[in-house]
Amino acid sequence: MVVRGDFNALFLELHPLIFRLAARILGNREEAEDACQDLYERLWRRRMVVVVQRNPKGYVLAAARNMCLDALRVRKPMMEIPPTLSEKSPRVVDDTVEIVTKLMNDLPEKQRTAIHLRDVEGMEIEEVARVMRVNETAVRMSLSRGRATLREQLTKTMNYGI
Amino acid sequence: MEYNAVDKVLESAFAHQKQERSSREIVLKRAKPKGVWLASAATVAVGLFLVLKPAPEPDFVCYVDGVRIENRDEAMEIVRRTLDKVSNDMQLVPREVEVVNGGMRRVSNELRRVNEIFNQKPK
Repeated sequence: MVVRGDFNALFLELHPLIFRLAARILGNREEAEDACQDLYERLWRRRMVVVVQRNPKGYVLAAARNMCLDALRVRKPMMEIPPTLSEKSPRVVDDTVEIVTKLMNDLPEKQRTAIHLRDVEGMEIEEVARVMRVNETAVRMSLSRGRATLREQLTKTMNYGI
Repeated sequence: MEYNAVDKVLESAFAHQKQERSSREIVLKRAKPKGVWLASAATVAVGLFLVLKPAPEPDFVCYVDGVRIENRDEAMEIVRRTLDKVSNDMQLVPREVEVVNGGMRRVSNELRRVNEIFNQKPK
């Protein structure tokens, strides 16, 4: 029987990680918080499945990612996407972190998620592969391409105006 | 921008991103038992659900080199150390000015000498 304490401990430990992953995939804090809430309710209903997993953390993160991907798919196409620095926009953003965040939001979801899990959260490649349900080679490829794009776009952005 | 500088910017931004926190905190709330739920420990646990409620905002937040600091005393200590360093650096400035002044005097002397040479009447 899963007692409340076990559930509490697992999700309190993972909540910041799950929230950041959801925010990265969805590109929106409020949506990410809603997604977390929905995820926890769903996983609570499936708690007997969660606790028998060899790697509950990987399982929960994979579930979080899948939920966010489902949310991305049903997003209304008319939703306005804020202009980013990868477009030819005259908007200037001073905050470096905000710049990098916007550039990451422009990456394809697989590259964005791989970079977030590996470079931001510091997870091992093997763990990232488990969460993304792909092999390690695919993770490395996503990382390589994503990082190259980030470096290129960041260099262009930081040299803007010179 | 150089390659290493770009990587440093990315590293700093990633470190900052890792500190992002949800504005809601998890609270476990016991559901009110309804007609179908039996009054036993197991089934009451089934009725639990999670509520995410807004977390209290910290009284003080600042960022130093991309690192989030919520402790006012810690932030003031960093400011004090930075100001001490600036103050020490500024004390070096008069010495640098003296070096420049000395250099200017030497240049002036050399120019006077050149002037004398060019103004010498041919023999």
